[in-house]
Amino acid sequence: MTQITLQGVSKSYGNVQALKPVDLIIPAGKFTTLLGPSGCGKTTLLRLIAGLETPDTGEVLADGKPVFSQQKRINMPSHRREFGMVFQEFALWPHMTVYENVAFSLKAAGQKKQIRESVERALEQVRLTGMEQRQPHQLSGGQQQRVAFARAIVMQPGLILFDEPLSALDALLREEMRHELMNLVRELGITALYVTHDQTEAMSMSDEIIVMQGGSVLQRGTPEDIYRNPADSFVARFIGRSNWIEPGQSLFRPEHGCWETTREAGEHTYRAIIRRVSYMGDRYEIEIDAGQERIWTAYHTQRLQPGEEVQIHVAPQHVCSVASREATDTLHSSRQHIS
Amino acid sequence: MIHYRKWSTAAAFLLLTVLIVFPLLLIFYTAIERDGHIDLAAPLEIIAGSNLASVLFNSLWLGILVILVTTALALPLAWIMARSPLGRQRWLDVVLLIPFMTPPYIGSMGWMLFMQKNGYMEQLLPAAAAWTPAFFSLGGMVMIMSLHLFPFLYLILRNTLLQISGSMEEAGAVHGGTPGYRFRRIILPLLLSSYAMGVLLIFVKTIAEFGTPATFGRRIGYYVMTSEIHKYISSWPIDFGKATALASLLLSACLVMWYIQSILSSRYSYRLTGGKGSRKKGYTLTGWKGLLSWLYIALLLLVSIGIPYFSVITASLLKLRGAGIAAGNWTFKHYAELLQPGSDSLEALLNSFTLSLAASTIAVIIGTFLALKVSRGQRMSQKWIDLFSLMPNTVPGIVIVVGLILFWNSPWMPVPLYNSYGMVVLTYVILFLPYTVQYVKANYGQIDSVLLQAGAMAGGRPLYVFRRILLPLLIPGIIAGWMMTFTISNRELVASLLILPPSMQTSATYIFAQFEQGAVSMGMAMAVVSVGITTILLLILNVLPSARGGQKV
Repeated sequence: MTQITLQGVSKSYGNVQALKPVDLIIPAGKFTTLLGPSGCGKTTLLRLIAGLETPDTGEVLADGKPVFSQQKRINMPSHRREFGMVFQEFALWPHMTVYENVAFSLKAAGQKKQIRESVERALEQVRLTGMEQRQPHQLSGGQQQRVAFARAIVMQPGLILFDEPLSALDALLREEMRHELMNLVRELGITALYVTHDQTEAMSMSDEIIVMQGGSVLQRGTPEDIYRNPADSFVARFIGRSNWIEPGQSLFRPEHGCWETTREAGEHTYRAIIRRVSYMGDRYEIEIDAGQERIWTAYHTQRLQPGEEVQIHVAPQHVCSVASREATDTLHSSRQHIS
Repeated sequence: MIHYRKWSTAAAFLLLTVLIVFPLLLIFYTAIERDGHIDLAAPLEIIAGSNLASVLFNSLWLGILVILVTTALALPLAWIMARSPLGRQRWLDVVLLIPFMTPPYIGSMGWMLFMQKNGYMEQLLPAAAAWTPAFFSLGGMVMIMSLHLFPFLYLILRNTLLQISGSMEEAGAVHGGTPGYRFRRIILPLLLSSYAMGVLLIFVKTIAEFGTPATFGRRIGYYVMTSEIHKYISSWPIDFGKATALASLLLSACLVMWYIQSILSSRYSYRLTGGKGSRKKGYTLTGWKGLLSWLYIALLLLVSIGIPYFSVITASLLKLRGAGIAAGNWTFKHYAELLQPGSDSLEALLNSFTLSLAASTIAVIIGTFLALKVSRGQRMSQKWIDLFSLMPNTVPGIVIVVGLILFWNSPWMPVPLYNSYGMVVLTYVILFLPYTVQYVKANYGQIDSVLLQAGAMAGGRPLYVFRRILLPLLIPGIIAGWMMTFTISNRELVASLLILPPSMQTSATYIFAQFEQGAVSMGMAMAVVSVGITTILLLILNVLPSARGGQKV
């Protein structure tokens, strides 16, 4: 189990600041996810930790020992950092069998004995026993994914880096592999750092989520924290659906809009007109207009008629306020301290 | 790592400068230097002063005529192969490459044997005697060269036609365009940029060609730049002034053409692969249209492959030349004589093989190194390495050879390589370096860099990743480069004629000399053996990528 500490790490490509200076701790033994839209800096951050890119400033520590330090002029190359990594398109070597793919890191490290045992154990863990002699192109997408994972764990690294590993799979397989990956990581008890732009993946797999945008960290917390108390209007918009009461300031989630009053003290009640009704199978999604350019979504079990006037009630504990974007910016003005 | 990159970049530049850039610059310098001072107009004065202006004009005129004829041959063929069920006949694609792979001097010899007085044409059809003499004219020369070069233009046009997706045409049809209108407004504009590029390359290849002018051109007295350069540096009175003047002009012309071509390709090429909708529009050619297409292809194959190969093979098998094609006049004795141990001919054949073996092996090592340096060609230094290493493909072979002679034979050259075995190998390496560079570069471009990053993340040291991941994935490109260099240097004529040490022969110079001296049977037997072996190798090379199909890189 490895703990990663970043201190003042930043990276620019030309004039574009891909990652603004950030302080961050990736706790040992936890499943941490970097979540954000494309171009938010999450992949850059992952690759800086992997050693595939070199930071402009700061320090990267693994269990307190620097693997990169601009000040001390340390830059340990990727192959000596001893992390595992699962790539987006699997990156299996096409000229090697499954066995050779998995055995690569053992042979690269000069290990002579027990290679076969280690490879077999890793393949057993990903349920690919008996596939040793296959070529990567003979495997299905899910199996290729498992080989990539076996390759990352065979050296029993303290940290595994995942770069959108499920994005190359189709929707059904993605869900299956999500559970499998999560279970494996938990069983092995290693630190996992996972990059994705898919909020469902992030919410369902992670112990902790770090939301990023435009090269900065906006919020970190448990999935529940982030959904219930988004610290920032961007976070609120990016994760889940939000019905804005005061644009950029307060909102509630669609599932908290009730059609009947709960008679709770401080309950918010709004008049609205139904604009559109879409049937989703398990429920109806109702688009309502609450005036003042507030277009909201609510759920119902029955079909309602567009044009009908309704009342919508929100309990006070479900109304959350977020700091406006300008306020957040001043909060994180110089350097982002998130731990 | 950074140290390594700097040193290896410097090494690549040094190598390219010494091998390619400096010899070429030396041509310009020799052409404009007169008694120690520089006179930029000197080449033009030399050309204007002697009767070389007509030679210049001959080259250009030949280039234009060959463009017209190759277009007439290639365009219908490309259309048939891209838009009809005939395109599914994969073997046709391989067969259609044969004319292009046949060394031009051998093709010309075949045609001369066929059409000359008492040649095979007249033997098969005595009445043809009325018009065969007319073949020995500029028209015949244009035809021979066009039949050699048309596959090149055909491939370019066909690939573009294939890329112009059926849906673009379907959209035209749905919106009311008649077939003629669609061709004019959709296909033609999209085709035009690749046609322009193809035509420029045909022009460059025509004015750079040596084989046909040296054989057929000399017979009919049509002299062009390449044949004149050869004359001035190989036969008495040797005149390096005129040779370099012509060479510098030829070099400039080709560089200008190449520059225009690269501008065209970067500005006027459309992205044609229309994503998923790129279905082929299949016309079904039934009835007379289908028949006509087959007839066209059959006729084309007959004249471009059938006639030259028929002549060459027949000439190698005839017992007595005078007796002509007749029963009982067939024999294999020329082959037996050719391959007799200790004979000049066998020695020439073996010389070719050993020289090519050495050249291809060295070229592959240097070429792979350069291709890896070029990488994906984003940096300025990488672009220059790319440009220089592909130079021998842009510049006519004879020009490179002139440059190499000037450089390695100069009085101040400390390395005594000239007039040795090594000089021939070096010349082949330089001439055919671009093949390896291009094959390996293309191969390298297909390898996702993430595969190498995965190697580093799995703990592989850079050298280990190179040895275990990059090198095995590059093997197809390296093999292709090796085989191409091997076959092409086996048939190389111009460098062999000019660079070989006096007592040494290769199969190409042997064929050339035998043909000149009238020992046609022996020359043609050598042609069959040498071209036969190398063509088979080239065909294998062409089949290889599809045989490798399963292993996607």
